[in-house]
Amino acid sequence: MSAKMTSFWFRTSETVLLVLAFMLPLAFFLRTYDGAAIKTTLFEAGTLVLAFAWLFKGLERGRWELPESARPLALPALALLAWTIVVFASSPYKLAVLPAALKQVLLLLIYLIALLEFGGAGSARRLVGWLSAAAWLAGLYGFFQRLGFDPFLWKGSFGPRVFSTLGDPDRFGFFLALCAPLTLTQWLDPERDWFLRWLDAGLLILLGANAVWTQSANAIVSFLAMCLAGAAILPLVCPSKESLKAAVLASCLALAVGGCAVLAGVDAKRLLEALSALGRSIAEAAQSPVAAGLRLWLAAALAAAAWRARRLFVKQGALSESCYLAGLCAAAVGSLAASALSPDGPPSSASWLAWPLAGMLGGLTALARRGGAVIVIPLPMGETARQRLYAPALLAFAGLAFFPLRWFDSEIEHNTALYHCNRRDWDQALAHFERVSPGTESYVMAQYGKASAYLESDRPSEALAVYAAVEGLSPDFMRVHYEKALAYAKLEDWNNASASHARQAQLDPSFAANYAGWAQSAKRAGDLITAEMAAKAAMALEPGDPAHQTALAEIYMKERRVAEARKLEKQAAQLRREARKKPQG
Amino acid sequence: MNCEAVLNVEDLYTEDRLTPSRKAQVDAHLKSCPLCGGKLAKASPLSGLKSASAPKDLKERMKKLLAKLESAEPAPAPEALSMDSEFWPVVASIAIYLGLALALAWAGPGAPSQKYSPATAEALR
Repeated sequence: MSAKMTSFWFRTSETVLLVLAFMLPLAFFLRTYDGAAIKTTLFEAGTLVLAFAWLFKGLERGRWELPESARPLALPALALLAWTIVVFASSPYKLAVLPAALKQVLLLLIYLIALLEFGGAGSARRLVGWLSAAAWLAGLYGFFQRLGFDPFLWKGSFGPRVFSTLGDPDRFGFFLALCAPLTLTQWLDPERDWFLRWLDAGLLILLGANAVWTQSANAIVSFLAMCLAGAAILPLVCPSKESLKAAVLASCLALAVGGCAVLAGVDAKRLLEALSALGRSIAEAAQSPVAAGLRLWLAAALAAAAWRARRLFVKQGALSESCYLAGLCAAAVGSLAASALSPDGPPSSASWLAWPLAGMLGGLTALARRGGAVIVIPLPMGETARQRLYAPALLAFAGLAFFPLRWFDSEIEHNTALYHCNRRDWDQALAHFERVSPGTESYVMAQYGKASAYLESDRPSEALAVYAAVEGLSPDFMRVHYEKALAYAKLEDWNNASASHARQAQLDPSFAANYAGWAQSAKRAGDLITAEMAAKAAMALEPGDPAHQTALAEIYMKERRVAEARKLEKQAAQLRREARKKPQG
Repeated sequence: MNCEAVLNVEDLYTEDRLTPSRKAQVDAHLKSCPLCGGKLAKASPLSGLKSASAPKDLKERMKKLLAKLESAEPAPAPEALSMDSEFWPVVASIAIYLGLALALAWAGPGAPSQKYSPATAEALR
């Protein structure tokens, strides 16, 4: 066994984790539809490198090991991993659910690797340090956005709300919230330089100000949840005078951010919606009780381990460990609370960072019982034989690393296709849609876009074939039935058009244009009762649109209800006159 | 377990850190394989000291020694402004990141993001 090489793989893993912590919040690329799509690529590629570094380290040592004290924390994650794979394997729509399933698998992998590899206060300090550096940059960019200085294309995309490098106010808010208890932890760190502690205090103010500037109920709720978790947990897990000061600081910050948010115009009602969101989260969890139960098991195991470790660290006088245990606990509890309380559901990429932090928390708790037994999987081969495995392992790594890059390229292709769609250059758009590969997040969307491009370029038969493929990937995707109905209407297949409109109306009963189209198709198909019902629904949804009145008048004429038809035509004419007057006024 | 597997866990075995079931497997192998037994004995020169125990007053003696050392230490000087070793790599990484980000933003492949283009905004309206 080469201790040098083992250390090399450990350093590689740690560097990758730190780079991820720094880059995930900051990276954006404004040549994909969502400028934050590059975060997914970084996350996938980074986790892959981490997993392979762990694998190579095992190859080098001739064994993989798991401290027995970490087993209660690894088991629920492994069970959740197995359950995710089972659910994915049994899903009839594998391509559509692949990105979400893959993300869940990678999050669990990153948790497990952090649990097994980075269980020290030193690792936690470095990770939190790099996250703080990213928070400084993101916060300063948010500050400049607030002042109106934004050199990038997405300037003003959310009006006056700041979104920084996260590309979305909710995501940015969650990231700021996650950084709050971690910054407090750094501030508490007994080995921290006084100058850096002042910087931490400055960062807390910057985080709070940005949270208010996001004007997002999600962000404010997350920030309050994280600060309150910090205020409650820091003195409990790391009992000292300094922790009490940190708790007071966190409470003041929560009060200031909550107050400023209401003063700045964030709807207080939306903040209260958090309570109903909690109910919704519980209801959603009840829909998949196995996954919810496994998550609960993991959270409970972490909480129990943290409580035991707290007593041991306090007893041993391990100040740094105690301090980072408290900070990571606060971040984990705050993340859970923020995800459950967010009125619009948990944000995506910003919440990914909570998983390696939870893994580190688990690693720290295992550290409290250092020297215990180790569960080991030895390789039944000598060093020379193991070295022969390097080449196939590297090949497997290179093969898997191809996918995140290919998917990122697909995101660029998807955006380019939309660019041509906006210019009504359908042939170019179709060519780019074709290059979007399966497995990418926008794959189903790209197929939908391809069908729409066929429809717009008067190729309804081809559009229908692609819509059928979209339904095969994800039935009821967006407005696929409405679009299908339009394609059928172009082919003058009124019965199928009417049936597709009916399906869309079932899924989206407040979609007025669908009822208008349905009325036309049913009328052409000779089903005047359905046509009348659909036209009336369209009128009820958009009473100010004269086209709906005219459509119903035409149906009445067909039914020989001339008086009612004339009345409606008069109403439509009146509406048109009013519409013409409005711009003049 | 074969010889290679046993040798791959030899340090954990000599430190008595294997789980009981795994330890039993290694023991069973060592009984039947004198070669591995010999290698393990060579690899653990401290194994003969397993039965040695620390003096009973060691803890107290250490405490006294530490107290003596602490009292002999001069009062710490006021802390000077010293960034820890993590600071400058972070600053360098930030500079590299900003350079790369700006280069990619201006000269990367593909069309400008349509989510934020005026045409898409108009279409969405």
